Amino acid sequence: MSVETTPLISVEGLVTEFRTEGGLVRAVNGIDFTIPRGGTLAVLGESGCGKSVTGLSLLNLIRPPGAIAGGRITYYGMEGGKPVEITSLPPTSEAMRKLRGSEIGMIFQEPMTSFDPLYTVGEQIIETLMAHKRGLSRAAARAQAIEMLAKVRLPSPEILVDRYPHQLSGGMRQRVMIAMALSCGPKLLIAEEPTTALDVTTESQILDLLQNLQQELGMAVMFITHDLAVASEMADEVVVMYLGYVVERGPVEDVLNNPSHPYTQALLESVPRLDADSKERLRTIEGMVPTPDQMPRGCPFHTRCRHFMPGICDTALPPLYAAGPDHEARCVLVAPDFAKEPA
Amino acid sequence: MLAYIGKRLVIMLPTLLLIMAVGFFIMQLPAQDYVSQYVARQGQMGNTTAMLQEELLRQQLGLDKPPIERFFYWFFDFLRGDWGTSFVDSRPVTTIILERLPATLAISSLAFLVSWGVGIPLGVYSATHQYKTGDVALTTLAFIGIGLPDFLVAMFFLVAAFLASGQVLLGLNSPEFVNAPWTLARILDFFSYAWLSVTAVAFTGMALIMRVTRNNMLEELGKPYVLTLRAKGLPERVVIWKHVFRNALHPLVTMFGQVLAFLINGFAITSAVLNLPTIQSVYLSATFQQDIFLAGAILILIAVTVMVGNLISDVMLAWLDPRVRYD
Amino acid sequence: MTELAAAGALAPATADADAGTAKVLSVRQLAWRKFRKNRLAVFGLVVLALMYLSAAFAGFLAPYGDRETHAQFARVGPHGLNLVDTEGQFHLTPFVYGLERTMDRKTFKQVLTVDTEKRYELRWLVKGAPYTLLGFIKSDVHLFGVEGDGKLFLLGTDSKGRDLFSRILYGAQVSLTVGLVGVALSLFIGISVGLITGYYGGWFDEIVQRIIEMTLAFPQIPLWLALAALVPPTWNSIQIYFAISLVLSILSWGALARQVRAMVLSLKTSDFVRAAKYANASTGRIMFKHLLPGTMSHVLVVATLTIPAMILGETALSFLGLGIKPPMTSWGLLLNEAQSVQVILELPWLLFPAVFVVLTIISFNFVGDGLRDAADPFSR
Repeated sequence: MSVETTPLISVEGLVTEFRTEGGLVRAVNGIDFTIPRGGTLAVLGESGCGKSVTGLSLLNLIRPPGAIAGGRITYYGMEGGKPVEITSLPPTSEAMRKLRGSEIGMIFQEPMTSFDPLYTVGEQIIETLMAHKRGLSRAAARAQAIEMLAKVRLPSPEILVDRYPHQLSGGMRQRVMIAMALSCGPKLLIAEEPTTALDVTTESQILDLLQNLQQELGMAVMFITHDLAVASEMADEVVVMYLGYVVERGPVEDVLNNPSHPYTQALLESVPRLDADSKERLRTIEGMVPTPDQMPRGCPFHTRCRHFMPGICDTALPPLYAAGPDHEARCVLVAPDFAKEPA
Repeated sequence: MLAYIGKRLVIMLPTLLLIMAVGFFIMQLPAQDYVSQYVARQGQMGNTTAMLQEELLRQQLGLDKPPIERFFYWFFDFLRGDWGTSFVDSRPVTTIILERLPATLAISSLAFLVSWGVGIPLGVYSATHQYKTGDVALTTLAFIGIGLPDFLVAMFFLVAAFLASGQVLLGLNSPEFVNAPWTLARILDFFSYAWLSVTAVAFTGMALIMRVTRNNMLEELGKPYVLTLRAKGLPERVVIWKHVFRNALHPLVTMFGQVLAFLINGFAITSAVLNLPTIQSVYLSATFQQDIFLAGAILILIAVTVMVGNLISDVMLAWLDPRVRYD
Repeated sequence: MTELAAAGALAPATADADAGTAKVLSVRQLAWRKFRKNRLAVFGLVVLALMYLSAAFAGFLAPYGDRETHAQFARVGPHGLNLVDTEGQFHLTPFVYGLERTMDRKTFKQVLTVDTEKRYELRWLVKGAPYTLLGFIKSDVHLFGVEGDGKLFLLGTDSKGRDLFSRILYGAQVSLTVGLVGVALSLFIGISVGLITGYYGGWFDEIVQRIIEMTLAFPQIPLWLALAALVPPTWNSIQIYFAISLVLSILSWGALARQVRAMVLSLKTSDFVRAAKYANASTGRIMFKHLLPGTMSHVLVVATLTIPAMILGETALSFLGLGIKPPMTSWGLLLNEAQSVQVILELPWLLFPAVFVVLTIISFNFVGDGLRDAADPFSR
């Protein structure tokens, strides 16, 4: 592969497990995806589907009792183009630490609890800069921190830099969080539900900001979200996860307009629409997500699937079948040799 | 901040008054006062003239007046710095206390330093190595420290030191130095001798601090901001000490007063077992002998120390945490 | 730290699952479930249950009476049961060897020798010293013992030749309950004061808060010492026992009263209490039907964590001679014999009661911690 065609990061067969009292739980069960340079991937799914663990695995931040148990994550964005295999670096190694923050940044869902309450937001940006840039003076780091705060369009950044997290509003905190994550110029930003804790107006402002910054800085973004609207607005590609498996993937337009997996279909139907008939009840997905230690046999979704076929769905895990150009779904209904029953 | 401290000091005054009143009346309660104990003892030794002097003695010591009256005399004298005279060795209470103050302060401040200085790092180690061998060993040690009565801690240290050195390390100095002036030799002797008392006094407090540090650290380590710090690529050392530890320090600071009370608690008994020349061991004998002025003064001193400790911990908390306001 | 990734990632799923089953479980069941998961807490509960049971049936379990002396067998070390004899032969029934006291002809000192010629087998349900169980069952049957001239001193004997194991069991009756009585007293005071001050507030509340602050400023042990010194030496064992529990409870009601008050203050404004007021419920009914139950879980936690301090207090007071007095016995009083390095080196088994003290204190702490976590069943 030439430099132009290599992705920024590739994930192959990633398995992440947690040792619990009830036994070994697979939170991520052999997933593959790549993110191109400057591209945006949305990872979609309900709580507990393994999307957060996937994000943390990319940073090698899974700590005991959890561990990456298989697969490979390769990062191609290093200066000089030498690929780095993240999965082969020990989580506590210096090489891994240097990668975090400077090459891959991450922002989190809860901007309140994601800051250390005892230090000013400025200090928390400054320490990030100083941890990665050798020989950077404190004064210079402070100037850069103020610059970053201005870049995320916070008013009077030279005052805000000395504020404590509890003195800021939720939207401001998330902006600071973005400024902090981008301060060292990462080539990939992992954004885990960055707007879930915010109100709707603030949410769209933050999403706009992220889009603008992405264009300006040319970084790739991995968007972890349960919100289909956010995914369709932000992403080029989408990966739908259920119980640690990728159940559907493809270009965002294609997946959201022609969902092929019953789970994706159900997710789309459970979104309230303004144009829908108001008398029609909103459809919900029946049942609960099974806990990871009660992993169903066969297709992971069969316990809640509307098209559940006994003897087929609960025996073997279906592979990903092509559902269109670059579009795949893990469902026998999509299989080319599957004779569709008359409805 | 100053206004806050001032306000707290003002609130302390009525509490102090109550403590003095209660302390005094507790000392008055027993049916047998110092004089009757004294007379009984003299009688046992065959000295019957004391019996005839009983009322006279009482008059001399002021024990014949009604308690309320005596309380007010005592109270105003106390404020003027006259803390009364010990019945037992007829010296002013202040003299006895001052005489023992250096040793008391030396041991308690050393013990205080040791319990925090050792307890905190061990607690952090325990938390960052949860369920590993070191943590299990330290946790066991801490539980023994919390579960073992203070007098037994002191006993165990005495026995262990005896088995190791063949010496019974009672007191603060070896016998040849007890009455010697404070020369360098005596100071060196003090350190080779007093470590036992210091460790014994500090042990329970250390165990407590270690446990609380460990629990706080674990609680803080589970918070989302730690993930942010790690995702930023901060070195683990910075994550632990600059951030997690400082957050975990808060509940510890509120414990400052509690640990102080703990030390004082254990100290009274440890002093007795180890025969230390401290205020606490005088307190013990004074309570036994109904030496009311001496015991009362010490009880008040102790309570004031604990109150000041609580004040210090509140002030430190306000100073450490930007979220705490002073009003 | 270890749960960090797991908590962040897996929590939503488990939380969902909990919420799913929570519908059919009461809060109490949830709490019990959570308590059961805490292995240390369950361990503590089992140990405490065994301790209290043995204390209750001390007379039956102890091979000897608490005051029974074996004058010629004073200062005997633990003299335990064997299964294999000196010839290496295995015996199905455990046995003890005979003890013999002889005079050393050179030093003229009494020496104790184990006579391996004599074997006394362990017997179940042996008749021995009479005792009264639970205050009304009179009996002289002991669970186990040896017959004839054999002696069974599992943990050795003291300077008067009394069996330490039996005395520890009898001492448990005092040491384990003095804290309970003390806590019951402080519960009574603490709950009443907390309910009233929390409910009415005002100047009365202010004064009580000052008093509580004062009790909290007093270091326990010095005050306990002062109070214990007040107990007239002429009182009998039972009077002293209750006096000591009273002394132990004198400082701990304050913390309880504060807890209850704080909870009452927050519950007072809750909808169900306001609803009760609009329905013209009497003050007493509101207090005892609506406010009190809401505070119980926290009260239970505080109480459990207060008992160990009281037990330690009793041992300390008794050790110093200010607590329980003979002929009653307690763990502190038993430890009182081990007052000097000399004695401990000669008769180290006199420290056995300390093992029981530590085990009890730790168990109470474990249970208290478990209850604290379980009291909030919806937290993670």
